[in-house]
Amino acid sequence: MKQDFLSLYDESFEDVYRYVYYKTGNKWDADDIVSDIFKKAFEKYPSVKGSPKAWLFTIARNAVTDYYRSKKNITVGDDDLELTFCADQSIKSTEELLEEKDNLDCLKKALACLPEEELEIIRLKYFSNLKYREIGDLTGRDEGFIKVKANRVIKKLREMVHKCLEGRL
Amino acid sequence: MIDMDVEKSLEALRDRMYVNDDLKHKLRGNFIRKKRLNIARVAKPVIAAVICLIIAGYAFLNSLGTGKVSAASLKVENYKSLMSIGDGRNTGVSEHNGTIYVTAFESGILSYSDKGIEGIYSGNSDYVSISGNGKMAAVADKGSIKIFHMDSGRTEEILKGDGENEFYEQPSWLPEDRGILYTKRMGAKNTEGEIKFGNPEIYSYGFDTSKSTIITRGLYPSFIKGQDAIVFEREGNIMYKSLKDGSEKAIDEGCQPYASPDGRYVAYVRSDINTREIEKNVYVEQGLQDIYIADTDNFSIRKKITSNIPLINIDENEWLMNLEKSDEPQTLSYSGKYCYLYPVWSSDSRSIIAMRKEYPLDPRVRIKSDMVRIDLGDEKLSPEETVKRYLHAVASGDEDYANTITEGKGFQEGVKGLNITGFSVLDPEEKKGYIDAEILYGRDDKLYAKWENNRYFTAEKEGKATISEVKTMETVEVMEEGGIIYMKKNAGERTRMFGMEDIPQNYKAGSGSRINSLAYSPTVSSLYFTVENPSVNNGDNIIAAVYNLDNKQFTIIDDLKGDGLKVNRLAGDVKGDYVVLDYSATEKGELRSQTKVYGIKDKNVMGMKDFLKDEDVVSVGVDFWEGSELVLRVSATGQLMRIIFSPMKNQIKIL
Repeated sequence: MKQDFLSLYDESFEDVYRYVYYKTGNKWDADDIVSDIFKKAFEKYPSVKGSPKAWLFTIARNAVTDYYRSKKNITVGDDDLELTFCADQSIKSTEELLEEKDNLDCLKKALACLPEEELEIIRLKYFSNLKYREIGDLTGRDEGFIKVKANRVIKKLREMVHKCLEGRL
Repeated sequence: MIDMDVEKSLEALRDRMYVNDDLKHKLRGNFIRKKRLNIARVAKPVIAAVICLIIAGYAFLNSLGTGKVSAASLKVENYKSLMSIGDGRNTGVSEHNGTIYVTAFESGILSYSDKGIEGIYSGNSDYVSISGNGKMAAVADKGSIKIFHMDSGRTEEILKGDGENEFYEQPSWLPEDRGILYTKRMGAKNTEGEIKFGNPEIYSYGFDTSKSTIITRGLYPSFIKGQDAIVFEREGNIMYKSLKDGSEKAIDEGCQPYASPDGRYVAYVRSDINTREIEKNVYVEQGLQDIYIADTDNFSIRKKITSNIPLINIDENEWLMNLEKSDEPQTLSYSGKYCYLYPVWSSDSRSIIAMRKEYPLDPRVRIKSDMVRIDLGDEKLSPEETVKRYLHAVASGDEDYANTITEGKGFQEGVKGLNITGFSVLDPEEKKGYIDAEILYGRDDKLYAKWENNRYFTAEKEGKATISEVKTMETVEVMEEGGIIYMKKNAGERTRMFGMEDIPQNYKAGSGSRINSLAYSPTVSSLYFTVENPSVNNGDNIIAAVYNLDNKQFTIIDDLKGDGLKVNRLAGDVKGDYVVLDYSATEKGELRSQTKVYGIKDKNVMGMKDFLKDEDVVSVGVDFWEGSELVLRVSATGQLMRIIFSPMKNQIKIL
C-alpha cells in the first residue's frame, strides 16, 4: 500500500533539500524552492502511481529548472559549493583531518569539472539517495544504463582526485 | 595514502551538506493539520455556536456606540493586485502614508507611490518595516538588522548576524519608535558537522540603551498599541503575551501575525480544513489558507477577508472509481489555488498588504506571486461600485476577489482566452436591480477585438452588494482572415470592413507589410490598427491608424521608425477618447518597451516614461482601460508593479 504523505515527507525532505541547495548554491532560494516542491507534491499526492520518491524528484527537477530560467547567468562555482558544506568537527588527529580535507577538497574540485549529465547522476544517487531504478524512471533511461554510467563517473572522479592529490605532493 | 574510496567520500560530503531543519519542522506543520482536525470535527459545530453568541453579544455592545468597528463588521471595500513579484522570493513589504516599500530581490528596497517608483536602499534586504514616523526603515539584511534613515541616507547596523549560524530577522517597531522587536535564530554544529537551529526567540532592542532583552520563544513579533502586549507566532499558533504580567495565551491557529498601528486589530494567516465523508472510510478534504483579522480586545471576534479557491486537479468521481478498496481511511486532499503570506497593515490601519502566490493546475507552469492590497471599511458599496470592483478583479486576474463578489458563481468562463482591454460601467439612472457595463476584449495570439454590453444583476447579502447573474445584451466582434478585416454583430453574418489593398499606399512599404494589431471603439465607430513595415536596410516602420466605419476614411495616428519595432498591444478606451500603443524597439542594442497614449479628439500624445523617475524602470506595458484611466504595468529591478495613468489629468497614481 502506498505510504502516506507525511512518511514520504519525513524520509525525503533532507534528500530533496540537499539536491536543491547543491544545485542553487543559495540557502534562501533553496528554502523557497523546497517549500514550493512539497506544497505541489502534497496537492498531487493522491494521484501518484509508481515510486513516490522518483515522482517527488520530478517535481524538484522541474522546480529547479524554472529557477534557472529566471537566473540565466547563475553559475555554481567553488565559492558556492563551500557554503553548501559544513566543516567536520569530529575528533580526529590533525593528520587525519588534513588528509581528509585534502581528499574532500579534491573531490569537490573534481565534481565541479563534471559535465551536467554526470553530475546529476552523482547528485541523485549519492546526495539524494535515489536507487538506480528511480533515477532511470526520473531521467527516462534504462536502469542498466544508469548503473554503467554511474560506475564510469566514479572511475572518472577517482582519476581526477588522484591527479589533484598528486599535484599537492 | 592517495587512493581513496570515492563512494564513501561522496557519502561523507553528503553528510556534511547543510539542511534547514527549522524549515523541515515548520513546513511539516502545514501537512499535519488534517490529523488534528479529525478530533476537532465533532467539536466544530459547538464551537461555531459559541462564537456566534459572542459575536452577537459584541454586535449589541457596538450598537451602543463604543466608536469602534469590530473585525466581524468590517467589509472588503476593495482588493487589488499591485505588483507581480516574479517567483516570490521577496518577503518584505511595509507601508506608510500611501507609500509602499517593497524589498527587491538582491536589489534593495523600492518605494511605490503617486510620485513614482524609486530605489531608496541599495543594500541586500529580506524584510523591511517602516517606523511610525515614516523616517526610518528597519531592514533585515542577510542575517543582520540595520536601521536606514531615509532623510540622511545613513545606515547603522544594530544587530550583526553571520548569515550562516546567527540570524536577526523580522524587525517590527516599538511605540514611539523607541526601538524594535525582532526574532533571533541560532544554529550550532553537531558532532556530524551539520548545523541545527534551536527554537527562534523574540527580543526587544532599545535605541537608548543599545541593549536587547529576551521576551519569549517565537517568531514574527508585533506590538499591540495601547495594551503593553505583543502578538507572535509559535509552533503553528498565534500567541498573545502581556508584557505587564508575562502571561501568554494562544488565540488561534495560524502564522505571521501583524497588529494594526491603531492597536485595534491583528491580521494573520490561517489554514482551514473541511472534510466530508463520501463513502465509508473515504474522505474528501479541502485545506484553504486565508487571511484573517481579529479584534485585539476580543480575539474570538474574527473575520476571513480573503476567499481562497480549491485547486481541483483531480476529479472526485474519477478518483473514487479508481480507488483500491481498503479498511484504512483514504483521503483526497485539495489545497488552495492561492497561498497568502506576510500580511502587514497600512499606517492608517485601513488596508492590509500581503503576498499572494497562485498555484497553477499544471505543476510545470511557474507559480505566480503578486502583492495585493485589501482595503477594509464598514460602508456598503453601491451596486455600481461593486460591478466596477468585479470587472477590475477579472481584468487583473484576481479570481479570488471576483469570486467573493459573485459568491463563487464565477462568471469568468466567457472571458477565458480573451484579455479585457477596457471597461466602463454606465451610471444607473435609477435603481433597477442591475448595472450595465461595456467591455472591450483582445487576444494576444491573433488579430481579434470584441465589444460586449453586459447587464449585471445585483443583490444584497449580509450588508454587501453581490452579482447574482450576468446577461450579455449585445456583442460586436472584429477579426482578421487572409489580410481582410471582418465585423460580426451578435450572432449575425460577418461583414467585410477593409483589406490590405484598401489601406492607403503611403501606409505600406511593400509586399512584406501586414496588419499586426487591432482594436475597436463602438462609441466613435472606429477601428484602430497598426501596419508593420519591416525593412532590412533602413530600420523598421509601424503606422498606427484609424478607420472610420461611417465615412470609410483612414487617418494616421502615428508613424514610428526604429530597429526591432514590435507592437505588444493596441487598445482604445470604451468612450473613444484615447487609444494606447504599447510597443518595443531596440535602443543601443537593448530591447526597450515604450507606451504612448493618443488623444483622439485633442490629438495630444503622451509618452509614459516621462512620468516615471526611476532610472531602473525597464519597461512600461499596458493592462487595460478602466473608464478613461489606464492601468499600466511598470517593470523595475525585477518587480512588475501596477499604476494608473489619467490622460485627462496628465498624472499617475498608484493603485
